[in-house]
Amino acid sequence: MTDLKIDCEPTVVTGSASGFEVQVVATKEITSRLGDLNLNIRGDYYSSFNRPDQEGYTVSAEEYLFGENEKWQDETLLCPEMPLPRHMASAVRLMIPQGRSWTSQAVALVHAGRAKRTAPVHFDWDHKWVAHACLMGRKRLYIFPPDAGWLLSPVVNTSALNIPRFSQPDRRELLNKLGGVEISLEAGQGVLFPSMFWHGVLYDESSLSISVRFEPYPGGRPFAVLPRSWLLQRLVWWFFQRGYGPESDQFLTECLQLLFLKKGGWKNRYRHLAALYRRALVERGKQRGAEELASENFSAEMALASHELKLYYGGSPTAIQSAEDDRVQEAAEYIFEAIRRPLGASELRLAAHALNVRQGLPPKRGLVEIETTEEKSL
Amino acid sequence: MKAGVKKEQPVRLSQQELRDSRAGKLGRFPSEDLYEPEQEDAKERKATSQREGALSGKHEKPRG
Repeated sequence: MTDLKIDCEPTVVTGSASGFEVQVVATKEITSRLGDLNLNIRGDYYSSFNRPDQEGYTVSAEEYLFGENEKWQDETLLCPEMPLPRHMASAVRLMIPQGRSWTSQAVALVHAGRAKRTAPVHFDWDHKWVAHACLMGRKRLYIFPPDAGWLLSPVVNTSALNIPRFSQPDRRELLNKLGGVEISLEAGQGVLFPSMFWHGVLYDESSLSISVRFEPYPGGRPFAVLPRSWLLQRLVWWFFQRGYGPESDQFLTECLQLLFLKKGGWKNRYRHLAALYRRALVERGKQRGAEELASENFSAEMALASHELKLYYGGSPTAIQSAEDDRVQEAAEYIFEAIRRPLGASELRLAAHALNVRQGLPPKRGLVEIETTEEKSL
Repeated sequence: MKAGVKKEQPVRLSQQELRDSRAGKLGRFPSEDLYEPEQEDAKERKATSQREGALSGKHEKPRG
Protein backbone atom coordinates (compact mmCIF):
# COMPACT_ATOMS: atom_id res chain seq x y z
CA MET A 1 0.00 0.00 0.00
CA THR A 2 1.42 3.40 -0.96
CA ASP A 3 1.46 6.19 1.58
CA LEU A 4 -0.03 9.55 0.74
CA LYS A 5 2.77 12.13 0.92
CA ILE A 6 1.32 15.60 0.91
CA ASP A 7 3.58 18.63 0.61
CA CYS A 8 2.45 21.66 2.58
CA GLU A 9 4.01 25.02 1.76
CA PRO A 10 3.44 28.30 3.57
CA THR A 11 1.98 29.99 0.49
CA VAL A 12 0.09 32.56 2.54
CA VAL A 13 3.12 33.81 4.47
CA THR A 14 6.02 35.95 3.34
CA GLY A 15 9.14 37.03 5.18
CA SER A 16 11.29 35.34 7.76
CA ALA A 17 8.66 32.85 8.90
CA SER A 18 8.33 31.29 5.45
CA GLY A 19 10.82 29.54 3.15
CA PHE A 20 10.35 25.92 4.14
CA GLU A 21 7.89 23.15 3.54
CA VAL A 22 6.74 20.14 5.47
CA GLN A 23 5.18 16.88 4.41
CA VAL A 24 2.22 15.11 5.95
CA VAL A 25 2.52 11.37 5.43
CA ALA A 26 -0.69 9.38 5.82
CA THR A 27 -0.83 5.66 5.23
CA LYS A 28 -3.72 4.21 3.27
CA GLU A 29 -4.98 2.79 6.57
CA ILE A 30 -7.08 5.93 6.95
CA THR A 31 -8.65 6.29 3.50
CA SER A 32 -9.08 2.58 2.88
CA ARG A 33 -10.71 1.94 6.23
CA LEU A 34 -13.22 4.76 6.54
CA GLY A 35 -15.56 2.39 8.34
CA ASP A 36 -13.06 2.26 11.24
CA LEU A 37 -12.82 6.02 11.62
CA ASN A 38 -15.63 7.34 13.77
CA LEU A 39 -16.40 11.03 13.32
CA ASN A 40 -18.06 13.39 15.76
CA ILE A 41 -20.68 15.18 13.68
CA ARG A 42 -22.37 18.39 14.82
CA GLY A 43 -23.98 21.54 13.56
CA ASP A 44 -21.80 24.21 12.01
CA TYR A 45 -20.89 27.26 14.01
CA TYR A 46 -23.59 29.62 12.77
CA SER A 47 -26.33 27.03 13.09
CA SER A 48 -25.34 25.81 16.53
CA PHE A 49 -24.24 29.01 18.26
CA ASN A 50 -25.60 29.16 21.79
CA ARG A 51 -27.36 25.83 21.34
CA PRO A 52 -25.17 23.55 23.44
CA ASP A 53 -28.06 21.08 23.60
CA GLN A 54 -28.08 20.58 19.85
CA GLU A 55 -27.77 16.92 19.04
CA GLY A 56 -24.44 15.55 17.84
CA TYR A 57 -23.70 12.19 16.28
CA THR A 58 -20.90 9.68 16.19
CA VAL A 59 -20.80 7.87 12.90
CA SER A 60 -18.20 6.23 10.67
CA ALA A 61 -16.52 8.41 8.07
CA GLU A 62 -17.82 6.04 5.40
CA GLU A 63 -21.43 6.49 6.50
CA TYR A 64 -21.20 10.26 6.97
CA LEU A 65 -19.29 11.05 3.77
CA PHE A 66 -20.98 8.61 1.41
CA GLY A 67 -24.08 7.25 3.20
CA GLU A 68 -27.57 7.65 1.76
CA ASN A 69 -29.24 8.38 5.11
CA GLU A 70 -31.39 11.50 4.87
CA LYS A 71 -29.86 12.83 8.07
CA TRP A 72 -26.56 13.48 6.31
CA GLN A 73 -28.29 15.62 3.68
CA ASP A 74 -28.58 18.31 6.39
CA GLU A 75 -26.19 21.00 5.14
CA THR A 76 -25.40 22.22 8.63
CA LEU A 77 -23.86 18.93 9.81
CA LEU A 78 -20.14 18.28 9.60
CA CYS A 79 -17.09 17.26 11.60
CA PRO A 80 -15.37 20.63 11.97
CA GLU A 81 -12.48 19.11 13.90
CA MET A 82 -11.67 16.24 16.21
CA PRO A 83 -8.41 14.73 17.43
CA LEU A 84 -7.09 11.85 15.35
CA PRO A 85 -8.15 8.70 17.25
CA ARG A 86 -5.36 6.95 19.02
CA HIS A 87 -5.71 3.72 17.02
CA MET A 88 -4.85 5.71 13.89
CA ALA A 89 -1.98 7.76 15.33
CA SER A 90 0.66 5.55 13.70
CA ALA A 91 -0.97 6.14 10.30
CA VAL A 92 0.06 9.81 10.29
CA ARG A 93 3.44 11.47 10.69
CA LEU A 94 4.93 14.82 9.92
CA MET A 95 8.20 15.15 8.01
CA ILE A 96 9.83 18.43 8.81
CA PRO A 97 13.23 20.08 8.19
CA GLN A 98 15.69 20.01 11.06
CA GLY A 99 15.18 22.92 13.47
CA ARG A 100 11.66 23.83 12.32
CA SER A 101 9.94 22.27 15.34
CA TRP A 102 11.26 22.15 18.86
CA THR A 103 9.10 19.20 19.93
CA SER A 104 9.11 15.59 18.74
CA GLN A 105 5.34 15.30 18.62
CA ALA A 106 2.58 17.24 16.90
CA VAL A 107 -1.20 17.26 17.28
CA ALA A 108 -3.27 15.83 14.43
CA LEU A 109 -6.91 16.76 13.92
CA VAL A 110 -9.43 15.28 11.51
CA HIS A 111 -11.84 17.47 9.51
CA ALA A 112 -14.70 16.14 7.38
CA GLY A 113 -17.66 17.56 5.51
CA ARG A 114 -19.95 16.87 2.61
CA ALA A 115 -20.56 19.34 -0.23
CA LYS A 116 -21.71 22.84 0.84
CA ARG A 117 -20.78 22.43 4.51
CA THR A 118 -18.82 25.30 6.00
CA ALA A 119 -16.48 26.12 8.84
CA PRO A 120 -16.51 29.78 9.91
CA VAL A 121 -13.60 32.13 9.44
CA HIS A 122 -11.74 32.07 12.75
CA PHE A 123 -8.25 31.99 14.21
CA ASP A 124 -7.01 29.35 16.63
CA TRP A 125 -5.44 29.93 19.98
CA ASP A 126 -2.68 27.37 20.06
CA HIS A 127 -0.08 29.49 18.22
CA LYS A 128 1.30 26.77 15.98
CA TRP A 129 1.94 26.04 12.33
CA VAL A 130 -0.92 24.12 10.75
CA ALA A 131 -0.01 21.64 8.00
CA HIS A 132 -3.41 21.04 6.45
CA ALA A 133 -3.52 18.03 4.12
CA CYS A 134 -6.51 16.96 2.06
CA LEU A 135 -6.80 13.16 1.93
CA MET A 136 -10.05 12.86 -0.02
CA GLY A 137 -12.42 15.04 -2.00
CA ARG A 138 -12.22 18.79 -2.57
CA LYS A 139 -12.60 21.86 -0.39
CA ARG A 140 -11.70 25.53 -0.34
CA LEU A 141 -9.88 27.39 2.39
CA TYR A 142 -10.14 31.14 2.86
CA ILE A 143 -7.12 32.48 4.68
CA PHE A 144 -6.58 36.06 5.88
CA PRO A 145 -3.59 37.60 7.66
CA PRO A 146 -3.95 38.38 11.39
CA ASP A 147 -4.32 42.12 10.70
CA ALA A 148 -7.52 41.50 8.72
CA GLY A 149 -9.61 41.26 11.88
CA TRP A 150 -10.59 44.92 11.79
CA LEU A 151 -13.00 44.23 8.87
CA LEU A 152 -14.12 40.75 9.86
CA SER A 153 -16.42 41.83 12.71
CA PRO A 154 -14.55 39.62 15.15
CA VAL A 155 -16.36 38.06 18.07
CA VAL A 156 -13.34 37.05 20.11
CA ASN A 157 -11.75 34.62 17.62
CA THR A 158 -14.54 34.08 15.11
CA SER A 159 -15.79 36.33 12.35
CA ALA A 160 -19.46 37.20 12.57
CA LEU A 161 -19.45 37.22 8.75
CA ASN A 162 -20.35 33.90 7.19
CA ILE A 163 -17.76 34.39 4.47
CA PRO A 164 -17.89 30.83 3.04
CA ARG A 165 -21.54 31.51 2.16
CA PHE A 166 -20.92 34.92 0.57
CA SER A 167 -21.54 35.25 -3.15
CA GLN A 168 -18.39 34.67 -5.18
CA PRO A 169 -17.99 38.37 -6.20
CA ASP A 170 -18.50 39.63 -2.64
CA ARG A 171 -16.07 37.11 -1.25
CA ARG A 172 -13.49 37.97 -3.89
CA GLU A 173 -13.81 41.66 -3.04
CA LEU A 174 -13.38 40.99 0.67
CA LEU A 175 -10.37 38.77 0.02
CA ASN A 176 -8.78 41.48 -2.14
CA LYS A 177 -9.47 44.20 0.38
CA LEU A 178 -8.01 42.27 3.28
CA GLY A 179 -5.09 40.54 1.60
CA GLY A 180 -6.73 37.14 1.89
CA VAL A 181 -6.41 34.14 -0.40
CA GLU A 182 -8.67 31.35 -1.57
CA ILE A 183 -6.93 27.99 -1.74
CA SER A 184 -8.61 25.05 -3.40
CA LEU A 185 -7.39 21.69 -2.13
CA GLU A 186 -7.91 18.32 -3.73
CA ALA A 187 -6.86 14.92 -2.45
CA GLY A 188 -3.08 14.87 -2.14
CA GLN A 189 -2.71 18.66 -1.78
CA GLY A 190 -1.92 20.67 1.32
CA VAL A 191 -1.08 24.08 2.70
CA LEU A 192 0.91 25.34 5.67
CA PHE A 193 -0.31 28.37 7.60
CA PRO A 194 0.08 29.84 11.09
CA SER A 195 -2.90 29.13 13.35
CA MET A 196 -3.23 32.82 14.20
CA PHE A 197 -4.20 33.55 10.60
CA TRP A 198 -7.95 33.82 10.05
CA HIS A 199 -9.21 30.77 8.13
CA GLY A 200 -12.53 29.26 7.08
CA VAL A 201 -13.66 26.42 4.85
CA LEU A 202 -16.23 25.63 2.16
CA TYR A 203 -16.57 21.99 1.15
CA ASP A 204 -17.03 21.48 -2.60
CA GLU A 205 -17.59 17.74 -2.28
CA SER A 206 -17.33 15.10 0.42
CA SER A 207 -13.86 15.57 1.82
CA LEU A 208 -11.61 14.29 4.59
CA SER A 209 -8.54 16.21 5.76
CA ILE A 210 -5.96 16.10 8.49
CA SER A 211 -4.24 19.08 10.01
CA VAL A 212 -1.00 18.49 11.86
CA ARG A 213 -0.06 21.27 14.23
CA PHE A 214 3.46 21.91 15.51
CA GLU A 215 5.38 24.52 17.47
CA PRO A 216 8.38 26.16 15.79
CA TYR A 217 9.81 27.66 19.00
CA PRO A 218 9.13 27.64 22.72
CA GLY A 219 7.28 30.76 23.86
CA GLY A 220 3.76 30.51 22.48
CA ARG A 221 2.21 28.32 25.16
CA PRO A 222 1.76 30.92 27.93
CA PHE A 223 -0.14 33.16 25.50
CA ALA A 224 -2.45 30.24 24.72
CA VAL A 225 -3.62 30.34 28.34
CA LEU A 226 -4.47 34.05 28.25
CA PRO A 227 -8.00 35.00 27.20
CA ARG A 228 -8.44 34.90 23.46
CA SER A 229 -8.32 38.34 21.92
CA TRP A 230 -8.05 39.49 18.34
CA LEU A 231 -5.69 42.24 19.54
CA LEU A 232 -3.39 39.80 21.34
CA GLN A 233 -3.58 37.47 18.32
CA ARG A 234 -1.83 40.12 16.22
CA LEU A 235 0.87 40.61 18.84
CA VAL A 236 1.46 36.87 19.10
CA TRP A 237 1.92 36.79 15.33
CA TRP A 238 4.55 39.51 15.75
CA PHE A 239 6.39 37.45 18.37
CA PHE A 240 5.88 34.17 16.46
CA GLN A 241 7.70 35.59 13.40
CA ARG A 242 10.60 36.62 15.62
CA GLY A 243 10.90 33.37 17.55
CA TYR A 244 9.48 34.94 20.77
CA GLY A 245 12.55 35.69 22.94
CA PRO A 246 13.18 38.50 25.47
CA GLU A 247 10.71 41.00 23.95
CA SER A 248 7.93 38.45 24.14
CA ASP A 249 8.98 37.44 27.66
CA GLN A 250 8.83 41.03 28.89
CA PHE A 251 5.42 41.49 27.33
CA LEU A 252 4.15 38.28 28.95
CA THR A 253 5.30 39.56 32.33
CA GLU A 254 3.23 42.73 31.83
CA CYS A 255 0.20 40.63 30.86
CA LEU A 256 0.49 38.44 33.95
CA GLN A 257 0.82 41.48 36.20
CA LEU A 258 -2.39 42.92 34.83
CA LEU A 259 -4.23 39.61 34.90
CA PHE A 260 -3.31 38.59 38.42
CA LEU A 261 -2.02 41.57 40.32
CA LYS A 262 -4.25 44.40 39.18
CA LYS A 263 -6.91 45.27 41.71
CA GLY A 264 -10.52 45.26 40.66
CA GLY A 265 -13.00 43.06 38.88
CA TRP A 266 -12.95 41.50 35.46
CA LYS A 267 -14.02 44.59 33.55
CA ASN A 268 -11.22 46.61 35.03
CA ARG A 269 -8.62 43.95 34.31
CA TYR A 270 -10.00 43.47 30.83
CA ARG A 271 -9.72 47.19 30.09
CA HIS A 272 -6.14 47.32 31.35
CA LEU A 273 -5.12 44.27 29.32
CA ALA A 274 -6.85 45.54 26.17
CA ALA A 275 -5.16 48.93 26.66
CA LEU A 276 -1.79 47.18 26.95
CA TYR A 277 -2.46 45.27 23.72
CA ARG A 278 -3.44 48.45 21.90
CA ARG A 279 -0.36 50.31 23.14
CA ALA A 280 1.87 47.43 22.13
CA LEU A 281 0.28 47.31 18.65
CA VAL A 282 0.66 51.05 18.15
CA GLU A 283 4.30 50.86 19.25
CA ARG A 284 4.84 48.22 16.60
CA GLY A 285 3.25 50.32 13.87
CA LYS A 286 -0.11 48.58 13.74
CA GLN A 287 -2.23 51.66 14.27
CA ARG A 288 -4.97 50.63 11.91
CA GLY A 289 -7.38 48.55 13.89
CA ALA A 290 -5.66 49.35 17.15
CA GLU A 291 -6.38 53.03 17.75
CA GLU A 292 -9.25 53.89 15.47
CA LEU A 293 -11.15 50.68 15.02
CA ALA A 294 -10.61 48.97 18.32
CA SER A 295 -11.60 51.72 20.68
CA GLU A 296 -13.76 51.09 23.73
CA ASN A 297 -16.79 51.64 21.52
CA PHE A 298 -15.83 48.80 19.26
CA SER A 299 -15.37 46.00 21.66
CA ALA A 300 -17.18 42.87 20.66
CA GLU A 301 -15.22 40.98 23.26
CA MET A 302 -16.66 43.13 25.99
CA ALA A 303 -20.15 43.39 24.60
CA LEU A 304 -20.81 39.90 23.35
CA ALA A 305 -18.61 37.62 25.39
CA SER A 306 -19.20 39.07 28.82
CA HIS A 307 -20.02 35.75 30.42
CA GLU A 308 -16.83 34.19 29.15
CA LEU A 309 -14.78 37.17 30.22
CA LYS A 310 -16.33 37.05 33.65
CA LEU A 311 -15.01 33.52 33.90
CA TYR A 312 -11.57 34.67 32.91
CA TYR A 313 -11.30 37.82 34.94
CA GLY A 314 -13.87 37.48 37.67
CA GLY A 315 -11.41 35.94 40.06
CA SER A 316 -13.88 33.08 40.22
CA PRO A 317 -12.76 30.90 43.12
CA THR A 318 -12.86 27.58 41.34
CA ALA A 319 -11.59 24.27 42.58
CA ILE A 320 -7.97 24.51 41.48
CA GLN A 321 -5.98 27.29 43.07
CA SER A 322 -3.19 25.77 45.04
CA ALA A 323 0.35 25.76 43.70
CA GLU A 324 0.78 22.62 45.81
CA ASP A 325 -1.60 20.80 43.52
CA ASP A 326 0.31 18.34 41.30
CA ARG A 327 -1.83 19.32 38.35
CA VAL A 328 -0.77 22.96 38.64
CA GLN A 329 2.89 21.99 38.68
CA GLU A 330 2.41 19.68 35.69
CA ALA A 331 0.56 22.37 33.73
CA ALA A 332 3.21 24.99 34.61
CA GLU A 333 6.01 22.70 33.47
CA TYR A 334 4.26 22.25 30.12
CA ILE A 335 3.31 25.90 29.62
CA PHE A 336 6.79 27.20 30.42
CA GLU A 337 8.78 24.25 29.05
CA ALA A 338 12.05 25.41 27.45
CA ILE A 339 11.38 29.04 28.35
CA ARG A 340 14.10 30.36 30.60
CA ARG A 341 11.85 31.75 33.25
CA PRO A 342 11.57 30.82 36.91
CA LEU A 343 8.21 29.37 37.96
CA GLY A 344 7.12 32.11 40.35
CA ALA A 345 3.72 32.97 41.77
CA SER A 346 2.39 34.51 38.55
CA GLU A 347 3.47 31.53 36.46
CA LEU A 348 1.78 29.09 38.84
CA ARG A 349 -1.36 31.21 38.88
CA LEU A 350 -1.39 31.13 35.11
CA ALA A 351 -1.12 27.35 35.26
CA ALA A 352 -4.01 27.12 37.76
CA HIS A 353 -5.95 29.46 35.49
CA ALA A 354 -5.24 27.16 32.51
CA LEU A 355 -6.72 24.26 34.46
CA ASN A 356 -9.77 26.24 35.50
CA VAL A 357 -10.59 27.49 32.01
CA ARG A 358 -9.24 24.32 30.34
CA GLN A 359 -7.14 26.20 27.88
CA GLY A 360 -3.50 25.86 26.83
CA LEU A 361 -2.99 22.54 28.63
CA PRO A 362 -0.84 19.62 27.45
CA PRO A 363 -2.73 17.81 24.69
CA LYS A 364 -3.57 14.19 25.43
CA ARG A 365 -5.16 13.30 22.10
CA GLY A 366 -4.22 13.37 18.45
CA LEU A 367 -0.50 13.08 19.15
CA VAL A 368 1.59 11.99 16.16
CA GLU A 369 5.33 11.73 15.61
CA ILE A 370 7.52 14.32 13.93
CA GLU A 371 10.45 13.16 11.80
CA THR A 372 13.17 15.55 10.71
CA THR A 373 14.41 15.81 7.14
CA GLU A 374 16.92 17.88 5.15
CA GLU A 375 15.56 21.35 4.44
CA LYS A 376 14.81 22.04 0.78
CA SER A 377 15.33 25.58 -0.43
CA LEU A 378 12.10 26.94 -1.90
CA MET B 1 -12.87 53.11 47.38
CA LYS B 2 -14.84 56.23 46.52
CA ALA B 3 -18.17 56.77 48.26
CA GLY B 4 -21.04 55.69 46.09
CA VAL B 5 -18.92 53.45 43.88
CA LYS B 6 -20.09 49.90 44.16
CA LYS B 7 -17.25 47.41 44.09
CA GLU B 8 -17.68 44.65 41.56
CA GLN B 9 -17.99 41.34 43.35
CA PRO B 10 -16.40 38.24 41.87
CA VAL B 11 -18.98 35.68 40.81
CA ARG B 12 -18.62 32.21 42.18
CA LEU B 13 -19.44 29.59 39.60
CA SER B 14 -19.94 25.98 40.36
CA GLN B 15 -18.03 23.34 38.43
CA GLN B 16 -21.28 22.49 36.65
CA GLU B 17 -21.72 26.12 35.61
CA LEU B 18 -18.16 26.18 34.37
CA ARG B 19 -18.80 23.11 32.24
CA ASP B 20 -22.05 24.55 30.94
CA SER B 21 -20.47 27.86 30.04
CA ARG B 22 -17.74 26.12 28.10
CA ALA B 23 -20.34 24.26 26.08
CA GLY B 24 -21.50 27.54 24.59
CA LYS B 25 -18.11 29.10 24.08
CA LEU B 26 -17.53 30.95 20.88
CA GLY B 27 -15.48 29.07 18.30
CA ARG B 28 -13.46 27.27 20.90
CA PHE B 29 -10.15 25.83 19.82
CA PRO B 30 -8.39 23.62 20.65
CA SER B 31 -11.27 21.30 21.36
CA GLU B 32 -11.73 20.84 25.03
CA ASP B 33 -11.53 17.08 24.65
CA LEU B 34 -7.98 17.45 23.37
CA TYR B 35 -6.99 17.67 27.03
CA GLU B 36 -8.74 14.46 28.08
CA PRO B 37 -7.30 11.09 27.14
CA GLU B 38 -9.49 8.85 25.01
CA GLN B 39 -11.56 6.43 27.00
CA GLU B 40 -9.37 3.42 26.30
CA ASP B 41 -6.37 5.54 27.35
CA ALA B 42 -8.05 6.36 30.62
CA LYS B 43 -8.79 2.70 31.25
CA GLU B 44 -5.23 1.72 30.40
CA ARG B 45 -3.84 4.47 32.60
CA LYS B 46 -5.97 3.38 35.51
CA ALA B 47 -4.93 -0.24 35.06
CA THR B 48 -1.25 0.77 34.86
CA SER B 49 -1.61 3.02 37.87
CA GLN B 50 -3.25 0.25 39.85
CA ARG B 51 -0.47 -2.15 38.87
CA GLU B 52 2.12 0.42 39.92
CA GLY B 53 0.14 1.08 43.09
CA ALA B 54 0.14 -2.60 43.93
CA LEU B 55 3.91 -2.70 43.55
CA SER B 56 4.68 0.49 45.42
CA GLY B 57 1.92 0.35 47.97
CA LYS B 58 0.46 3.60 46.59
CA HIS B 59 -2.87 4.09 44.89
CA GLU B 60 -3.99 6.51 42.25
CA LYS B 61 -4.75 9.89 43.69
CA PRO B 62 -8.36 10.87 43.15
CA ARG B 63 -8.63 13.64 40.55
CA GLY B 64 -11.00 16.55 40.26
